[in-house]
Amino acid sequence: MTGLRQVETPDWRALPTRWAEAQVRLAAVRRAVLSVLLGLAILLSLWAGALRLFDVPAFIAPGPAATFASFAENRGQLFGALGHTLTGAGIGLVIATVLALMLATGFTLSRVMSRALMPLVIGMRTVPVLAVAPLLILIFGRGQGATIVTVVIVGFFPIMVNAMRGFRSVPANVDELFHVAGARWWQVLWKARIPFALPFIFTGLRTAATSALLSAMLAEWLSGSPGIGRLIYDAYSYRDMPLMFAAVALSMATAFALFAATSRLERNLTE
Amino acid sequence: MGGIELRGATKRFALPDRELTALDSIDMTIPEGAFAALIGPSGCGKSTLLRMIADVLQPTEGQIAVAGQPPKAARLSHRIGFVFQAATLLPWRTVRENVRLPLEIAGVTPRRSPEALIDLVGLHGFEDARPAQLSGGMQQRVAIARALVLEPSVLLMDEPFGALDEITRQRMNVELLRIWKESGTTAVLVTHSISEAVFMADTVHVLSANPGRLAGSVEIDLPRPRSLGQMKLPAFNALENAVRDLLFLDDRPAEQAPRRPKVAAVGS
Repeated sequence: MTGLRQVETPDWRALPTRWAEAQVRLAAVRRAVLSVLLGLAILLSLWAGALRLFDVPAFIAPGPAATFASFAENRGQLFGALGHTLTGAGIGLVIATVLALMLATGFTLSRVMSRALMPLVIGMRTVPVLAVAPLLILIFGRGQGATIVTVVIVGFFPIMVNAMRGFRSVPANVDELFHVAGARWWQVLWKARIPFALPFIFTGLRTAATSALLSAMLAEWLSGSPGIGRLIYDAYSYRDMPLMFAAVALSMATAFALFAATSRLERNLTE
Repeated sequence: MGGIELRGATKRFALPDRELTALDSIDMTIPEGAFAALIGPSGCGKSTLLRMIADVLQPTEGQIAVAGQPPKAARLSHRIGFVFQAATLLPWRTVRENVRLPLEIAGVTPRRSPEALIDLVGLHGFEDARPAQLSGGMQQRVAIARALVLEPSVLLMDEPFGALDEITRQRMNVELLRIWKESGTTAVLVTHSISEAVFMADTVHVLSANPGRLAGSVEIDLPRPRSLGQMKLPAFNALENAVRDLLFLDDRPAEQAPRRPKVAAVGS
């Protein structure tokens, strides 16, 4: 009897439920984890295979098993060193971002400021960090100071250049719209320039975040500040190859995670 | 006083090698509550004229008064609404938030809520939609609501429906007349369509190019409210021809040149 009164209405049961949406999201996470695991498996078998094929002695390059054993044994020391490096890189990155956004804002608003400071900024960029690092260590000491300043010098440039491109990407009509409504410069900045520039700023931030880790490690290498960069150098000096490989693997994984995290943040903020 | 007065308004741009006179000594009076159309060939400075009224550009010589004030004072007291050819909506804001934008900038509470204006432009139910979810015509309706939210004395429109198709455009024109009547503002419409200018305006001001000069004005005495049916009337055609004559004043010798016997050639 139920078949008699069939009305053609959209079935609410056809709409995606919270459960179904959660399932979809879970499947996406599962796919991501699987692809990372697959990539890791390929990397490890290439590593082990190459050592076997070229008959590399273990005191030059350890295999995955020895590296993992050293990793498990020294994980306290490794993560401690990584924490030290990430703190320096993180502080440096925050300072670099603030500085870059301030300079980009200033350069966009004032032609005089742009003309006066831009050559200085570009000049600073062209000097290799490796060349000025000893000087920075002399000035800022052998602790986190030199690390932070190195990260700032390397990191602020891509953020600033991209932020400036973003600030200038505002269409002319939007500027006129704000002008006709009687907007002040800070209203234009806050309600139009920064939102329009966000995707650009994140492009710069992503570049800066990965190079921040690298430059922090470089600074530690030269200054002796006890981070993962120093740990790699020390392990190499003591010919503790498994520890050195474990430290290198950990810093690579961290760089990858940083890149993924900034990409994710960008997608969440700009969509 | 909500009208617009131009006295000898001139705009010259300095180019690297010479000086370009975009507009030469324009005199124009647009009474309060009237609908004026500006028409002319591209490069005649009609957009420049509109931007001088809105205080986006400053005249090199001459005076402009908007609602009895200099353009800058009128702009800062929120007497001016502007609609661009592109809707120019902020893509991360909803329809409601886009319409609210001028209120946030001015920091005032309107007599009429943004929601009421969204209703007025016929977008009831789309308050929380994003611009990307709307058609071009709907986006332009949002732009009109946004221009009216501060209750301006003058509404300036720079080819607002130029990017729309003919059908949507005619429908939007009828809508715009209703909105204009309802809001009571003085309207200035820049267009390059003769029939649109005649259909919408009380007065059509015709500009000529190089340099931009006022070639003449045509009073449109068709009764209001206007309807699309009026476009078929002989009186409408006569007014269109009057505008056309002013537009092609300089081209007349060319038009009177003997025509080639094109039809005969095709027929044989």
